[in-house]
Amino acid sequence: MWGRWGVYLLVALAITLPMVLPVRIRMVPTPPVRSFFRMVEQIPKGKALMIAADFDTGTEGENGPQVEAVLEHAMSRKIPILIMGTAIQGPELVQSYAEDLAKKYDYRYGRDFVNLGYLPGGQPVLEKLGRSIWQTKPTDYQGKPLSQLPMMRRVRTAKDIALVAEFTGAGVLPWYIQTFWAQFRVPLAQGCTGIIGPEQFPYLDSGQLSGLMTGLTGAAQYEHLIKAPKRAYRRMIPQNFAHITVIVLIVLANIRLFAERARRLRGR
Amino acid sequence: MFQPVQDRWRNVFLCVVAFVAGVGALALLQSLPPAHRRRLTGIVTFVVGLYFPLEFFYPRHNFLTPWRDSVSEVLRVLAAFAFGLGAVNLFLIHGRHVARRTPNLIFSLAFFAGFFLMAGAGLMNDFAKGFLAAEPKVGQLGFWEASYRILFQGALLPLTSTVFSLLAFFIASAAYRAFRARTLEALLLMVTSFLVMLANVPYGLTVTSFLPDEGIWRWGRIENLVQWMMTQINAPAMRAILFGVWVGAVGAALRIWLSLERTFVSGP
Repeated sequence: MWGRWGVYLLVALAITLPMVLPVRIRMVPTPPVRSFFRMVEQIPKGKALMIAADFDTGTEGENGPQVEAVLEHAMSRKIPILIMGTAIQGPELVQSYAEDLAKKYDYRYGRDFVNLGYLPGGQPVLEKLGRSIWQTKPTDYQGKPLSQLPMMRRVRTAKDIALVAEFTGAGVLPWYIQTFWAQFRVPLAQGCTGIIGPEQFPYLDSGQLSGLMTGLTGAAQYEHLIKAPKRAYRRMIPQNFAHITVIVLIVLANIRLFAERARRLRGR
Repeated sequence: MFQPVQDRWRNVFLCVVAFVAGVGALALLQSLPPAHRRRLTGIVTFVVGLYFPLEFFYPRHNFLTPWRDSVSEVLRVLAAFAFGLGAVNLFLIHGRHVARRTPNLIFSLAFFAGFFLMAGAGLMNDFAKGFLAAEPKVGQLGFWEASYRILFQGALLPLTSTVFSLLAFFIASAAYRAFRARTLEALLLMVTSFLVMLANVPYGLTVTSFLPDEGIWRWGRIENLVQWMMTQINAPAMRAILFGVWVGAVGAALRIWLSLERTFVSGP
């Protein structure tokens, strides 16, 4: 009983203390995050980046900073951004990040970024979206016709999209692989929560995913690559200490195990 | 196949007709003897389930292709119905708690309060910004928009993030108790998890960041070693699991399609 509460107390201290103490950490980007960065860097002029916001408020802590980092990178390169999502809350959350960053990069809604909102229906709807964005979703998230949004004159089908960046805490990636990657040959990159990270590596290994950002650490590494340490970096500091606490606890538990085993052997 | 109806009143009329026809069809289905109902549902399931495989496996642009968009639209409508069904279900469950004044009454009241507050603020923000409040001027934050933002970004977002972040405590406690090197397999698991954890911690990555990122020495860097483990050891295992999952999904789909699985029609 005390063991469990002791662990909880240590984790709570490891998370809260770095929030008040001036601590700095150095980020080292991993190869999948570097690939993600390269994919956004290589988007040709005139082509759009599609942000698939397939997450909700529950995983915003991880997916939110990931999207923000990619949005900032895309805006710094003046890439047109198309936002949509197969989860209800995702597009709305991304809209708020985009509006915040728009002031800094002189991005205007309708001219430089458009939000299609929530798209229910799963994989068949994504397939239709790839064939014709205008026919699948004739209005934006506020019900405004796409004909009134200048950016959408240049973005009509999957051919006008250079990269689909999907952000999720659930297993909806196969929908995009079956449609955007397999049918329309649009490269995919993903930002996912730490929990589902290991599930995505087969797709990375097969080349179906061109980049992968896992959890908050992935977002912090991306922020390091775009030289704009923000939310992910700040949140990564307490998480860093929480992880170290877990590692230390595992070591202590094993020392205790070996000590007990040695005592038992001596007793024989 | 079908063009969207542009005339507003014609659209409303068609929606009402569709609603009445839907309710009528459900009432008719309900009045049929159970055996006939099961047979009819089975036939409809088989015919509808036949569409996508036939359309996909036939060469491109066959006689089924023109219906593809319409079928996608039907799927979107069905997905929207699922939300209504979910709301009805929640109302029934929580309404029962309120009516019977069970010990969980307080949680059910919290559900109703949250549901009506969020739905009310959202609907007013979208459709009646001036209802019981001054109509906001351009660039001004109106009462309903402010209420919606407070509820969504000020309440829902931190609440769901808090629930998700509680995982940190449970994972730390579980890791402390589970990762013990009792056997060779447990030792292997522990060492692997150690490396993966280090690769996800900035301090862990800095331990080996002094090594060059090329030649033989690159394999000494934790991020490259873990990348190899994730793509060469984890990915094949995940691929095998996913293969099993999808074969199982095909089996389950076949059983439903051929009405061998009837629980969705007649209950267990």
